[in-house]
Amino acid sequence: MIQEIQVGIVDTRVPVDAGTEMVAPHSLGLTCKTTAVQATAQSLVVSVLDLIATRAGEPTGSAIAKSVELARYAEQLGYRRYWVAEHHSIQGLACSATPVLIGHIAAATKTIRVGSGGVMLPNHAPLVVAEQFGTLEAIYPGRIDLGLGRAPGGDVQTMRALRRSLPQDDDDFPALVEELRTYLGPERPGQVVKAVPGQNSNVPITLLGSSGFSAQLAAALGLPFAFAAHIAPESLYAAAELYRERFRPSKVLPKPYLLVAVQVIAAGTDAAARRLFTTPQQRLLRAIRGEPVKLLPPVDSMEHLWHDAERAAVENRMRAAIVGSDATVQGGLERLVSDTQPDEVIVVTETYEHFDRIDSYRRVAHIAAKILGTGDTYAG
Amino acid sequence: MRDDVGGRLRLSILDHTPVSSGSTLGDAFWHSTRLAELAEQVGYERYWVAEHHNMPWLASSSPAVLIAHVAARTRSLRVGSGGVMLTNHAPLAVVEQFGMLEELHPGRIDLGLGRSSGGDQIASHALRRTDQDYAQLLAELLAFFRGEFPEGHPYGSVTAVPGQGTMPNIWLLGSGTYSAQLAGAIGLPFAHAGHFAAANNVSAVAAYRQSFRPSPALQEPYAIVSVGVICAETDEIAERHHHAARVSTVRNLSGTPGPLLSADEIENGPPGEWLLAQEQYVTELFSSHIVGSPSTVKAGLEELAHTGADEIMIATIMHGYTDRLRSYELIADACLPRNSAQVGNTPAGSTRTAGFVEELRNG
Repeated sequence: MIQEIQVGIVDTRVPVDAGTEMVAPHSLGLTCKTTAVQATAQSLVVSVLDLIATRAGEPTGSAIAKSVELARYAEQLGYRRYWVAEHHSIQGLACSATPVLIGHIAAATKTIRVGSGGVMLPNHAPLVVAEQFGTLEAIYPGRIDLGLGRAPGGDVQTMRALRRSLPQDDDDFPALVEELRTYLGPERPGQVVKAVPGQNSNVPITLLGSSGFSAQLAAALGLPFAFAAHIAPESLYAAAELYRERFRPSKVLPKPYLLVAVQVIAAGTDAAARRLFTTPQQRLLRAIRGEPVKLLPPVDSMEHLWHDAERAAVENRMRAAIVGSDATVQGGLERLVSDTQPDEVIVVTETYEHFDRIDSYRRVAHIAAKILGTGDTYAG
Repeated sequence: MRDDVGGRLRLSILDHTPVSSGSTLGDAFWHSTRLAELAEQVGYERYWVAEHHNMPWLASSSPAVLIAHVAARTRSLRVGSGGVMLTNHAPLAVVEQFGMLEELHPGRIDLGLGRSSGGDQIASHALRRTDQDYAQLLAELLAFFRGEFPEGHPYGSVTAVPGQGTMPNIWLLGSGTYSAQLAGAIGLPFAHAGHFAAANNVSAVAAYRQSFRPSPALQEPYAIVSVGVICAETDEIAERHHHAARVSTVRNLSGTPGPLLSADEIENGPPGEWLLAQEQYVTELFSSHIVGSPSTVKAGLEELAHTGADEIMIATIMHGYTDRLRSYELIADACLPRNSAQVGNTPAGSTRTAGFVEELRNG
């Protein structure tokens, strides 16, 4: 089956053919020119993960307006899902109230699946999460994903402020997942507390992880597993292998479904992409130093910004990143696919300029259409 | 009604997103969306959603998520919570949610806060409800919005992103004099839950006004009193809807909860076995409702204004989405002057409320 998706993006600074021009509602000024993404049912499935990064001094509302525009383009470009993360008390990341953001983005789009990547379950009462996602699923049926993680998404004081029980040990997480699934699944005999809405909504759950722990839990429960290779590239292969080896079929999933999240920046040339990549590099560098992590403009060279040890740390953490021209990115994605056989790749792209980010997602959509995926799907 | 509002009734909506028999929760939410659009069209002051848990006839359990949806579907309407039950949540989480909403819809968001559970004891346990003092939780919430924790406070290093510096309008909700006095003492607007505590309407508003001290947020006291209302073309039709709502509520509180039943279902269905205590409680509760034709309801609302309320918030919990929308529409036609000039000739049967759900979903 050939899906013809008539979309593409050009910078408003470049003139476009009048007949093919369209402007999205609430557009920030980007103009959209039609080019076809020719994906087939066998093409590599791609999705978006957004941390709603902000520039210094940029209001959250402005950053979210950009994300809404990206979500609309991603929908037209054939991305499967648009996920937003959960972080707290981090100046520069506006993704704290994940379900509210999902509601806002789902309201602005029509068909793309929208979800969390992920809700950090130990920060919340499972009933509250069930009600929030049950509400979203009731309003936008068949479009909502619930990705779950167990990281704090912030520092110790922030966790206390969120009333997360401390110290948290790993043993709590499976029980919380089980409690949550009770509220999202069919009502059980004698069940006293029901999630209204939520009960029997069966919102699809994906477990997120950056280690073997979540891989094993996802395998044991027969759930899809999303590995954060943009955070822990060193554990990717081991976690993927562990997940597949230990997977036990469940009612929701007969065989393993692996999603791999990875940073990608595609641009006109390798040099241009590498330059754009200095924005996320600078941010990670600042995070390592404990400095504010707002988006910074790209620089020609990182040489004068980091010490050797910092450079090694940044490059190590970002070694799964796929950065370059269309050909380079295609090669990188093909390697990722042949090495780990993901059923889906979650593309994490952060740039200083909104246009560069949208352009990168456009390029990746075209590239993914040419790559053979596993042909499997989970929840649409 | 106070002089400074020129004798005009200010009306607003409290939506519990009631669920009617034979429909889905999704239907209920889309009808709530339509109600919010109506509120914007006809001049209701604000539209608030409630927080209830474990009640299959009330779909509104996640106010912030529902507000995100409704605010995205309207343009100028004030949208808020009536209310978030603060003791069920970490203040930081509430600040992040409503800070986000205020960022997305500047100047349109109300954060109404309450201290009840919004559910039963066991649901409270599942919500990880805290027994922490309400006033302390409120202080913590305000400190996150203002970024003003005292020196050395453990949360001094924690920033609500978003939230700090983007505070919506905060309201305290209450059903007695405690929250009324607290709202007055810190100079916040106050909303009294007359829809279930009508006996305290006058005492709560009086306590609020007496304790009021001006604040940067509010120079003069401002009080809302809510009330249960069912309005229909005639008194008889309205009474019939009200009877159905009353019987459904008794059933729901007697251990066999489900969506609200229609008058036909109740008249033709088998007689239920209700707990006498619940029936007495519900009958008393429902006796404070204003029920009837537009002129009956208008007279009732005008009388309610003598409680000293600046604004009356209407809570309509009944079966049938079209009938419910029609109720709010009739009240607006009768009581909101600007609106009656505009849509006074709308025929009965309401063109505005027909066949809109599919339209909304698709559009």
